[in-house]
Amino acid sequence: MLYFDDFPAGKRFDFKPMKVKAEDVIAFASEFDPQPMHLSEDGGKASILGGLAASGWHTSAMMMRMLCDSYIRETASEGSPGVDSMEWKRRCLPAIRCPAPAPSSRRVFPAQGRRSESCG
Amino acid sequence: MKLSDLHPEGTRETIGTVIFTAEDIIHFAEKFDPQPFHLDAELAKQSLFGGLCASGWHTCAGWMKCFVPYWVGEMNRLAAEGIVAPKLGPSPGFHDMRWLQPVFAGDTITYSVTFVAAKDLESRSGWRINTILCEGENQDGQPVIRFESKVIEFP
Repeated sequence: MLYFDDFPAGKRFDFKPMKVKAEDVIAFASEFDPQPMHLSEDGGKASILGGLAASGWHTSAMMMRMLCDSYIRETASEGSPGVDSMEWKRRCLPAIRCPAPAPSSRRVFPAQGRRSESCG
Repeated sequence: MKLSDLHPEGTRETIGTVIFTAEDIIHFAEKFDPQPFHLDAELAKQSLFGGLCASGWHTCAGWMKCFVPYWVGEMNRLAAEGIVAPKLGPSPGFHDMRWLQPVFAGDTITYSVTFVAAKDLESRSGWRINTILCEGENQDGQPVIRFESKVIEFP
């Protein structure tokens, strides 16, 4: 069990990447943030985001899941009083929209498999 | 019309209510915030909260769930009056999010928005960044959430 003293300022945890699926983006948006750019590719293309993109609240919730999967459930934490600042720095696009990586002589996996793995 | 023209500074608008059922709280938490006090009523009784309560991110999402239909209604209302509604875009983020009280299973949260300030972008002519205060209170009038959000406005 980890306690407050186990978290000195600057201690860093790297979370496992999470692949964002279009159906998950649409499902979250349908329930909580039904704006066109979060509901369909066409709606996204017509917006400043340029394609189907996750709601910032979905991205936030995904980060919470990463926190849980990383260390929160191993701590004595009893909840949080808030968040000082949140910046949604870039659009979060579903994995299917990520470009396939450029061919490389070092690639050891078949291209099809790498396509989604490269998206994080 | 600019957002600052539509809502004078400090005018609080009620945007809707969300009932947080135990089922919805658990469903959200299973996906995004699987901590015992969001998942299991018995385990939650032993926690600091004292009962099953919603993830703070669920409470946030509830604000957005109310704001989108509220804003669509505002756009339609203005259009019927022959007024072009403010052109709002995505948000770059928020600050000073405070989860002030737990949102327990069965609570009804009423959300509101208050226009705070607008700032013209120097880099893009006609673009603005609005600051809006977002709040929610429970059926007993207790504040449960507040945050200030940024919203892009196009010319």
